[in-house]
Amino acid sequence: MKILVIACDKSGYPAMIKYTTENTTNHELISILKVPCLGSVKESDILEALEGECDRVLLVGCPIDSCFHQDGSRFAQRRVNRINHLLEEANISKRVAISFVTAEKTSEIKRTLDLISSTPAQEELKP
Amino acid sequence: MSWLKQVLQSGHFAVTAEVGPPKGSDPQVIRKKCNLLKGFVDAVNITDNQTAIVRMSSFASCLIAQEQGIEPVMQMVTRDRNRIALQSDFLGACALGIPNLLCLTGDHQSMGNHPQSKNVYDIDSIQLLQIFKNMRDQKVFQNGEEVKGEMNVFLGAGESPYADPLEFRALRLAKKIAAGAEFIQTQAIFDVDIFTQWMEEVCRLGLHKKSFILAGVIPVKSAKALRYMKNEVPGVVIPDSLIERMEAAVDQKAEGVEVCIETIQKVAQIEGVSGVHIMAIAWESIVPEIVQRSGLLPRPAKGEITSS
Amino acid sequence: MIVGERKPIPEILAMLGDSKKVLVLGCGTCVTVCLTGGDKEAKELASLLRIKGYEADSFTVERQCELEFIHPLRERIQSVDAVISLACGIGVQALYELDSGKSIYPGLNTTFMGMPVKQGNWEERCWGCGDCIIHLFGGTCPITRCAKSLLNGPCGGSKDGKCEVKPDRDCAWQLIYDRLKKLNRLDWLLTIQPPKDWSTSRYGGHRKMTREDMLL
Repeated sequence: MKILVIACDKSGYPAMIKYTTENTTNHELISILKVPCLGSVKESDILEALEGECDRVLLVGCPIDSCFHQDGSRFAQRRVNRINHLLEEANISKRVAISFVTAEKTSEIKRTLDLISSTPAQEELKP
Repeated sequence: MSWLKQVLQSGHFAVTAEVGPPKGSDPQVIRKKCNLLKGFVDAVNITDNQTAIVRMSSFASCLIAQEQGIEPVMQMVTRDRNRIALQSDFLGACALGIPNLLCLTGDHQSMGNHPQSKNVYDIDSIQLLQIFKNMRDQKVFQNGEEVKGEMNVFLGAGESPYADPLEFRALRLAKKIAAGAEFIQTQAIFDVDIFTQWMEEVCRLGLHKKSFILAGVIPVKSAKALRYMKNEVPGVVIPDSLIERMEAAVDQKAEGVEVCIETIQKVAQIEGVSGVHIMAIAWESIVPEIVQRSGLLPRPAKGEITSS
Repeated sequence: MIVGERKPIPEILAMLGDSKKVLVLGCGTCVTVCLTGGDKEAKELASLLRIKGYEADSFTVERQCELEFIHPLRERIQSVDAVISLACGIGVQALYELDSGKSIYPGLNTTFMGMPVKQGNWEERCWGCGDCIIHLFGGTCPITRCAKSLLNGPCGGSKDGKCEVKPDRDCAWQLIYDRLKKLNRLDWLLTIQPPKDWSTSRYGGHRKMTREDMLL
């Protein structure tokens, strides 16, 4: 699974850097994009990313209740759900995931990356 | 002339019952139900695709009832026909001597077995009453054109004392009566207290003097059926105490009959109530027993009443 | 505004058949505001189609229901195999008026004329009956909002202020009653409303309006 990571510069990006330096990852990360907040990622941005070679888009950012920009992570989660439903409706096996982290805690990243790298699309929709 | 009207006008406590036409073309179904009820009721209501489920037409079923020597009350709903068809059927009913018409709006088709259908609702029940009254009394169609012929029909309407807004229900009845309703059959009564309050308001407005009010009752076979009605049938209020009573009964069917008889006897004591309408849906065979045990026999016979 | 809902994607794909080159056309007016057929939704659908292997592009015009706005699109439409319009049914028909020779497929189901009652919720308000009498009912249109279009009061199925047909919808007559009570105008409800003249509505046939002074 080729994965594009979109990370917020408050917690997601530092956590990703820490994660990649600490782990010799076996995940196929295409790129890590830095954004000011996950709330700034539009549905069409994610879909456009999925048009290319990537199979999964992973959004990494602040926990919902401690988002630096207050509601960014909340909005991002709703968008992720909506896109996954659109993809499912269109019978496309690509998926989007979201992971909430703090700059120091990277264990959640590994868990999510392992999950989206190995599980088929249908399973991922289930909460 | 309507026998039901004669019974009511002569001061007798009237008894009517509901007869649902079959979901099929067998006239025997109507004949059997009518024969069962003959001598126990003054007239039978023939429903018009009630609960928006397709059945034999009310018009045809009324004629079958008439052949059996029982007077029909033809129900007409505005859900399926526009003013053209309703007026046309009205004239047909007059021509064939159907003496009573009950004007209703009808259950919405989404509640029935053809929810995909288009409804009509060109007019509502109050407007329908007014149209028929004007045809009969003013000899005019809804458009103002002259209509010819004798239209000796007794016009009725339904009313629910239980639907919201509660404080508007009696006033809405006043509108129906002003529009032309000469008799009223109410929604099934299980909560006698609310019905009593409603009747007090009806009497305060003097409506019982302008129209005959027949209280609706339903004999229920089980606590389960009662609970279903409480939850699923709009415009019906069922006290929990009644459900508990039914649940506690050894023979729920017998208890249901008992409850129905008690309700009839209670409502008969209420000022302004001129009769009772028994809706024993799919249980018509119980009606004779209910009428008999409620002390409503014998029914007045032709010749006993001189038409006014 | 006119409210529409996106058709299920499998239905859209089925309409497209073997078309390869597809233009998704959004509309910048009502359906943008109800979040179903604007630029954002057009882009999303085009993206999904590209993932599915179509050669898809999107574009949004300010108002698909006006020929002036869509005329410049004629050539672009002719260069594709098919167009999916995310406008209401009016926009779709207007695109056909361009006579481009291409199939224009409706990507939305036009559902009603209504308003956003709260964030993320739209509700029907008007039927376009052609003879407005809202003022007689305290500002709630019974033709639109009562399932039976009753003009003389609630039916027997009004319970706790809700409609028996759709129990999550308010009973129009409860709203009318409450509003008129507040306005101290309950007496209005005692008037028997005569049968409505439906000839001004769609029942009178296809409708048209002309302003002589505006004709060219």
